[in-house]
Amino acid sequence: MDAAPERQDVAPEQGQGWLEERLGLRRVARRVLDRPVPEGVTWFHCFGGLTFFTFIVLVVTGIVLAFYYVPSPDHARASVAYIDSSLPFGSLVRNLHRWSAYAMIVLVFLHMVRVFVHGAYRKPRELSWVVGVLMLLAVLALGFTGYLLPWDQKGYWATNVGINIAGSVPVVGTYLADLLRGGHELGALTLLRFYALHVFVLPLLVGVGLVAHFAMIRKQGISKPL
Amino acid sequence: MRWGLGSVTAAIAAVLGAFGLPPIIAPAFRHTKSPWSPIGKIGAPEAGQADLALQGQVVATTFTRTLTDAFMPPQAQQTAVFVVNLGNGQFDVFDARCTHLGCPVSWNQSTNEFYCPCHGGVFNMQGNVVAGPPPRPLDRYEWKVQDGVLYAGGLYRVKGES
Repeated sequence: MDAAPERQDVAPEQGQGWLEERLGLRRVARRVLDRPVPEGVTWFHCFGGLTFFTFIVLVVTGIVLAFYYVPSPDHARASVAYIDSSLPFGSLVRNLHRWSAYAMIVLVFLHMVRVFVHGAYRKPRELSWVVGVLMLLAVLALGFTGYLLPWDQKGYWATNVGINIAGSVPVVGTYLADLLRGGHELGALTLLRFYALHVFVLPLLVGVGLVAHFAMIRKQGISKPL
Repeated sequence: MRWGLGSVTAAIAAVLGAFGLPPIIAPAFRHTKSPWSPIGKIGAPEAGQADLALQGQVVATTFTRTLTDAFMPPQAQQTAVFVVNLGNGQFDVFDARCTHLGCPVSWNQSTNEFYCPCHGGVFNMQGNVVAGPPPRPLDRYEWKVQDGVLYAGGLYRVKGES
């Protein structure tokens, strides 16, 4: 019988910390962060990363807002007013959330334009484009659902119009609009389901899309600039 | 083992979907009955109230309905309508929202037309589309007259010319 192959354990280097000795995080960090990029990469290649940055800001500020916001018609406006006026740093957090949302929409389009102009969507990166477009739709849906949450006149009527646009879809439009509204009239259930979509469903979808998006960049590298 | 794990995962997803989806889509298929609500007495209007006895004229008014919105306590809600007394005890009660995207329409006395400010939808006194993007005539409320009082019931749609 052949002898069992010798185990290839890496001997712990001198000076390694307790955690490093057990998990080898430095090697992981090197593999994740130190990646070669093609020559000629410009600042225009930053739009995707900046979009991701705004997403992180939105998640963090959104979690803070969720500590105070009440998604109910009789308390939504009051709780938003409380965040704005009484909560220390509340208006800062809420405005960060609002402006990051605006910035994300702008940056995600700039990112898409950059990828389009550079032709970076071509083989083998078609799936990155497809996942990106799906995330774009989810981001627009996040903007649409978030607009209603302050439960003010602007948000109420914008949602009214937006749902009526969905209702103009042939054949299934009426059901689509009722599904979005949670009934025949815009009301408590609409606010609640927009809230659920805004804080649970859509961010989860974007998160899953981001993991796929980044995994594909890892696998394929970023495309050479034209 | 490979198949086993896949099947178990699929089964869990199917069960979660079967119990998770119905509550989410159910409210879209539930119909609530609209109660009959008084719009106003026909003739002899009190001060500040619309005169529903005037025939062949569009009267802009509101009526109050007590509606229950899901888990919220029942609440009185003002609804804007246009009432036309057609004579012979016949009425048209138009919903004030444009059938295009739901903006409120206003009655233009000089042109005898309803006009929507959002995208220029125009309706005539019968509620039919004269111009602009609205896909159907103005929606209407069921109505009835009881003891000289005009009541509004459920909202309904009219397809095409009416």
